[in-house]
Amino acid sequence: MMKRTMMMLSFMTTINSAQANTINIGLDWATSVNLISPRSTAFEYTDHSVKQSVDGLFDVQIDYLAWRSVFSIKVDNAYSYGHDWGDQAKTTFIVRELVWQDEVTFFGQTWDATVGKVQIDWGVGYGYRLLDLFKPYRQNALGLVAEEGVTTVALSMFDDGGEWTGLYTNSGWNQQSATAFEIANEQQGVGVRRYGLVGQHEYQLIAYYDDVRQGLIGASWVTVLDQQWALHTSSMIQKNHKGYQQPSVEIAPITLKQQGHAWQALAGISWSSESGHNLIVEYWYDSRAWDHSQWQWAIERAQYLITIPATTTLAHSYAQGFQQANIVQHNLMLHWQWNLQAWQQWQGSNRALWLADITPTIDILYSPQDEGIIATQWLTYQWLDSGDKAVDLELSSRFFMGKSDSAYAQISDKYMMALTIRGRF
Amino acid sequence: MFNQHQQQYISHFIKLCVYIGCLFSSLAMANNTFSEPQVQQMLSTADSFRLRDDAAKVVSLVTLYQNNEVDKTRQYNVYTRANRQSLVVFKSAIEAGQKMLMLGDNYWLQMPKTRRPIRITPMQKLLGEASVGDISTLAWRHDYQASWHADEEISDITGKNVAAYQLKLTAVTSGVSYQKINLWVDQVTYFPLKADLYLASGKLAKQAVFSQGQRDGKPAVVAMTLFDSIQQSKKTVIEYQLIVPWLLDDKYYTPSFLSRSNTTDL
Repeated sequence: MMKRTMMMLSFMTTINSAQANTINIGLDWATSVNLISPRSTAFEYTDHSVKQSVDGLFDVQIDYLAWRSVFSIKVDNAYSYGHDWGDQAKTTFIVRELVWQDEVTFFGQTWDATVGKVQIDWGVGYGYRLLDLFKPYRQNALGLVAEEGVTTVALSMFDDGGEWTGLYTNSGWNQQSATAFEIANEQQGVGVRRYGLVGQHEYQLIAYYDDVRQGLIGASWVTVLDQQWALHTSSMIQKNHKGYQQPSVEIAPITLKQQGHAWQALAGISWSSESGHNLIVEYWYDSRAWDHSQWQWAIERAQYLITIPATTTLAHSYAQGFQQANIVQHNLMLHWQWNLQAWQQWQGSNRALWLADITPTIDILYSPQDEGIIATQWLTYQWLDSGDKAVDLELSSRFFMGKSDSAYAQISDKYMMALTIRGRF
Repeated sequence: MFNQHQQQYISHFIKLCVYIGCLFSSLAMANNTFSEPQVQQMLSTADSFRLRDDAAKVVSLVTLYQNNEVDKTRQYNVYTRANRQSLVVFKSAIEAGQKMLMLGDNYWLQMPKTRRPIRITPMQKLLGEASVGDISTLAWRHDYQASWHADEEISDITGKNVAAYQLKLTAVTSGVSYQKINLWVDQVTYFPLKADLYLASGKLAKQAVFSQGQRDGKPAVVAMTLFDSIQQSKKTVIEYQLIVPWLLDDKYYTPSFLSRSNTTDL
């Protein structure tokens, strides 16, 4: 027994010395050709010709000892419709993460410390993750995105049932241009989180105070029911929020203001089958978004204001309602993905083995109150995969549809398409 | 007392009785040779040729072949411990940073460049890269109820004929990749020779053949070759490059710890 313990200790020593000499570097690149078809809406009249652009992204991840850094170079509009190559190009160097995470000991107690810029992703949903409290990470984006972390100082303690975390965050360190809404919602604050695992049930309890929301509490619960079914739910109440307020007078723009308390809730169920189908159905509510009557009022006002040259810009201002975390209050999402490799296995099919390299995905986001629809599809083909390097091709498209007076039908893009090639080595 | 003819009859009668006795005895043995504990012991011994310790680090190199040509390779480091708990760290360049945590029948997946452990159902785990389930399961005894089925002579991976026991394994936990397994073990050593692996649908998914070698001077399974029964052009070879006793801190088996960067050097 003693001998075995010594053996284990000696191997543990080995990993520590191996860590000291190990530097891991991962490289990713992606290029995306995008098509956007604009349309005139209640908020804006526009040229309807299809716009093309080419974007690029190069990521380097470097892990050394307890350090992780992820740097990106993002080139937007390397080519842009109506311009020569490079004329409209905008290159941004982005520190997505630069963080140190290791054990520290205070007063005889061992803690896991985090210091630096790091993504903190506590959300449990698919279509919307309301517990991504410090910086909302875009879900299911089309084209290329480089998400950034938040400046964080955190201490965690792990026990038999889960983890306690106390942290300070500041979401103001950004390299990418942000909207007025995002800038207004940059926050710094302190909080505590409990993550727990009881049997097959996972829960989170969060309390956080920052200078924008001035206090919030959040919770989540995730459980797996059986082989195929799983449930997830989360909710949050906050004391204040900043959002776009519609004017009480007719000739005035909307304004970004501190508003009162708000709450959000999300519930979802997922199902997967042996034949490779994965389904997720989610509903979420966000009291911060404009409700049905507010959107109808905004559309009616903008339709009137846009006809008068002096008030056209006032009509444009209503489109800022699209910048908020959720466009509408009530949201219903259906997600479907098909694993064709599993399907072939299930069918016992030995034909067209190349089909196993294709993954189709469809998301339907439905607004029950005004019957607006955002439909997105991805078709991903794994072109190369050797273990050392991989290249994927992805054809994606997003359509903004639904009733003509729905909020989604006022988005100035009728549809978007992207052909993306991604590589990793 | 008996004349010569009578003695011959008696001798033939005794021989006949012995033959019949042997026949019934062997028939009886054929139907009920081993008790359930004996078969489970066989299974435990077979397991020990793959994994001797409750807590261990297993370094596996997986080579996937298509039409006998290398299609892709993968490397996994598996940290397994008691109570069916495993942490799988994906080490190939294109999967670096990916991890899977298995706590009994509960599973989490951590994708590279995210800080988001995703809870997945047992079915979603089965739908993932098939070899993950194969490399993370190194013991049958915790997941399967075994029963003796037959004596057979089979060819091992070198083509040599070996007397084997065929065992039938039925899953007793919900998260396993294969619902039923027909396993052949050496009659003398109980070394695993080959296995037919069946999906929950009853379909024969793969056939596994085990390669014998030496680890720490003792006989051990050094590789497992999986032949795809449905897509017969596919073959997977899993080489166990390193199996050593290893005990990770408890926090590595906490789902929320998955996203921390200092697990990348595991």
